[in-house]
Amino acid sequence: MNWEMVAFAFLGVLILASGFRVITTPRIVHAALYLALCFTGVAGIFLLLGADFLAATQVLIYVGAVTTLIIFAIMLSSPPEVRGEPARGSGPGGGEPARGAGPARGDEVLGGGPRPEGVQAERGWVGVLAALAALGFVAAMGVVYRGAGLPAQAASLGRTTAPLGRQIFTTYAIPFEVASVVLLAALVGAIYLSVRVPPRPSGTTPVSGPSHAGAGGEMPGEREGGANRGTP
Amino acid sequence: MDSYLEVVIFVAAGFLFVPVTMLVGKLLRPHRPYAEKLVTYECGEPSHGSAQIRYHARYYLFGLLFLVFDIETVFLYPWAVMVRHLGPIGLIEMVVFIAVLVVGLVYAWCKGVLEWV
Repeated sequence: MNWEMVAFAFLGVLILASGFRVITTPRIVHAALYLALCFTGVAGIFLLLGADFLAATQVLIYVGAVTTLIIFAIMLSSPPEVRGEPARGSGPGGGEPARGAGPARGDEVLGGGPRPEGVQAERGWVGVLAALAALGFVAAMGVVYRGAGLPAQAASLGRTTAPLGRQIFTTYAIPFEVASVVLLAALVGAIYLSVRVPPRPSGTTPVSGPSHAGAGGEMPGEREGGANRGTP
Repeated sequence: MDSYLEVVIFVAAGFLFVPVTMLVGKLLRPHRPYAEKLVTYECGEPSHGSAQIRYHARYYLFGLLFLVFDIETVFLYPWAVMVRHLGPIGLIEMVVFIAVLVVGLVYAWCKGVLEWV
């Protein structure tokens, strides 16, 4: 049993355990952090396969940026959902208690509280759909692995960055340029959806930089979120 | 594959650093707590309200901008490795790629996303 097998077993257990915790932990912020751990384990698997640039990309984009984005998305949701409490319409966040985002999670967190019958039935359907999706995924992966001819050629690739760069900028130049358009679409779409109100003509002095010093009434950083929580 | 031994050592040292530091701190520091000391620390100011407030959607745009230009950086790296072999075509490809993303940045700028209110 060589050390690559040991590393693969360790990473496999890490990925499976953290992935299981992502869907079972009652706190959604912890779920995001377990997701980051899962991504890190996948980066380790890429390293074992000899894909060093892909591993670095996995850490940089998925562990760094995507997890940050997920945590930001959690911070945008209303606090009772984050804490797993029943969403109150009269909470300080105001607005609709958007339950459509994750009914299964919300009910799991609620514990033994009284819940409507419709939600119970909906949760059952969600479970059935999730089981079907998981089975379909396992079947698809089985088909893929059967045709892949494992074990794959690994650790004989050498440095992968230069051939990868050659491939991206010659054979796959068009997908590379399309990627920039996709990123542009995501950026413009998010801006269009979130910036609806014009900048408020507030009387407070504009504060440059995220420093806590010298902010009169409105402090930058986390307190600003509290100050703006009424705005859509 | 032996070149990753340094990575393994680095990761192990990183994981050991936190518990060892906390253990040493626990062994060395005096233990005299009182009410003000046990309050949650927040930049030296008295904290008020819950930490789990609803944040403004503007922060999501900062995250998304970071993600977009993070991906651009990832594409820049193999390009920088191969740019001498690619010739002017490679330069044009990367200029087009960055120009498309700069359009998004200019749009964000015009919409006032980059303003820190």
